Amino acid sequence: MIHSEALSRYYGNVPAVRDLSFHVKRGEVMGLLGPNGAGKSTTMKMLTCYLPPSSGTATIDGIPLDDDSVTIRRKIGYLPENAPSYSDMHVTSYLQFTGRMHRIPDATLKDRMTETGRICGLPSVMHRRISELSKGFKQRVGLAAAMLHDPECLILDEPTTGLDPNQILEIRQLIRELGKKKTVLLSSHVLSEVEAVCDRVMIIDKGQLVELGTASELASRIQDGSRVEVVIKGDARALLKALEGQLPDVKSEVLDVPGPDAADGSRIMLRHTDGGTVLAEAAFHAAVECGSTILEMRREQASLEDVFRRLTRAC
Amino acid sequence: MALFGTPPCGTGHFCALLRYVSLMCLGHIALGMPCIATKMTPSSRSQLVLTGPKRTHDPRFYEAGFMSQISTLIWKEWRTAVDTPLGYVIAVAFLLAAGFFFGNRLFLMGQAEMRSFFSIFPVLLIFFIPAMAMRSLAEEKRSGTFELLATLPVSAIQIVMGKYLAVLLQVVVLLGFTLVYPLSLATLGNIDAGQIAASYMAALLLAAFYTAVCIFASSLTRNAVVAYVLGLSLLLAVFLLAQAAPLFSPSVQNMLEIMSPLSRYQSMLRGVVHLGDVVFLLALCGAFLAAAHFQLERRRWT
Repeated sequence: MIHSEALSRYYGNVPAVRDLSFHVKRGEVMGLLGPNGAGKSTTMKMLTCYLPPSSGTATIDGIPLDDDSVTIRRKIGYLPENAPSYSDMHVTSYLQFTGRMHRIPDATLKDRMTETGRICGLPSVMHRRISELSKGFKQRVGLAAAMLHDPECLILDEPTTGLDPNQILEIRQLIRELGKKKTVLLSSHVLSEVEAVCDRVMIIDKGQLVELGTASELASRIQDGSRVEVVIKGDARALLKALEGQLPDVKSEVLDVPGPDAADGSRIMLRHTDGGTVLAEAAFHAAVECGSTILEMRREQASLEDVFRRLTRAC
Repeated sequence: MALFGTPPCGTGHFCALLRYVSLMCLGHIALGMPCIATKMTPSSRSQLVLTGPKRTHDPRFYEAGFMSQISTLIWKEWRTAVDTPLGYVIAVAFLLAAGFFFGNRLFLMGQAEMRSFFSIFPVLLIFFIPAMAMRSLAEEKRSGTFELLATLPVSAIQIVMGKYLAVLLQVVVLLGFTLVYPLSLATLGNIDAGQIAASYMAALLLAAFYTAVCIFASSLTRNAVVAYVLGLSLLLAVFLLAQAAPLFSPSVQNMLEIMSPLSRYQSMLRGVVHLGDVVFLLALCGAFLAAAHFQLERRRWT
């Protein structure tokens, strides 16, 4: 659906986006992740034909950006950063305006407005002035306007910034719902959001693509070996000895030694170079061997947060 | 300047007309408007189909929805103007001032004529039109809605035209209110209807020029106040240049006379509407709108 090839944009001599190539499949929710100023918004502005790329091309549904931008704009619903809208207008007239600009015939426009209004949870505010609405509702109005003409592709620039946790959940729910039928490209610097909503994630930094894949792919790619945290009741030293018998190159670190009453066991962090489940299995067998009880065992996985921090750390 | 020179007379009529038609076309090109060819299709004879040269320019200019999108934009601006107090404040202030200048002269001189009103009119508009046009594009840029507008399936030309015509519509409505003056004069005495009609046409053209200048001023900045001051300064400069003409040598004076939209306006007030004056003012509108269009599209080149 979206196919970008070596897309670049310079502001003067300052590169905002450099050689960005990626592919978003039809019906996929793609997350565009990056620290502030990484070039997320610039990328979206190029894809929505607001800014022409300095070099490189992109095609939307097979149409190159510079070929027929009006057709492309019809296929795209765009929600710019901070969800701007005409604050002096009423929600209905704003949606009506957007619909007419997309040349939706008046007969179907009414149905589309009720439909999108319902999807975005707007019926209660339909006749209010936009300036009177809360940030969450403004965001939803923006989203409703973006999807009014039933675009095949939605491009949403930080759709959940400035919302309270409940609103964030609602918007995410909405995006996930939309993502079932449409292609969505969504930018964010909130990692949990991307993890929760997107099929695939693209991390960019300083205008360049650093990683692309599903959240778990990225996490496993960055993780070196496996880490297991165990809490055992019994002799920790005996367990470690037994474990070393099974896996010679295991590294351990005692995190928490129990007090004299020894009710909660000691907490040990184990590391091994193998990324699989070997370490966890070995720890279990070692515990059985030396007769101690495992109270807790947790395999630690690198979260997207780790990936992100690792990849975009200031050099 | 020969193109804008003396109006046609005598045998040169036809050539002059040709000249003006070509100038009109130039004005259209300045606006970026295509010469839209209309033709009838055999299948639906009653239906006009708009077509144009094939893809020589951006195809979007030739689409049938070109005007409907502009009128949607005008509709939206009108809704906002009617919904917000600014428009009313301006209208009331304008009509108070206009009424004062009209009534003042009328009661002092005791003559059923509007010449004095129309001679003060350009000065009045210098203050009011920038106020009506200042938010037009500047506010869109400030609030970020310009990005929305620019990513809708419309061209920048449509945006400029829509914005321009929307402000012009407000100006026309205001002008419409002043029709009360000639109507009330008509009940008092004999008025020169032709001269007043010509004056209204002159006022309309001058307002169109002022509006184009102020739309351009609004496209330069994202701050409405700055847009107001810019528009005001530009219009004042035009006005003062015309006023300062006697200070210069005769040749410069003549030049200023030809170039000044105000002298064109003054000549129309006499009740004679020359096609040259009309085209001159329209071409100026086109030039300023083209500049505004350039300003909006500038982001693409830098």
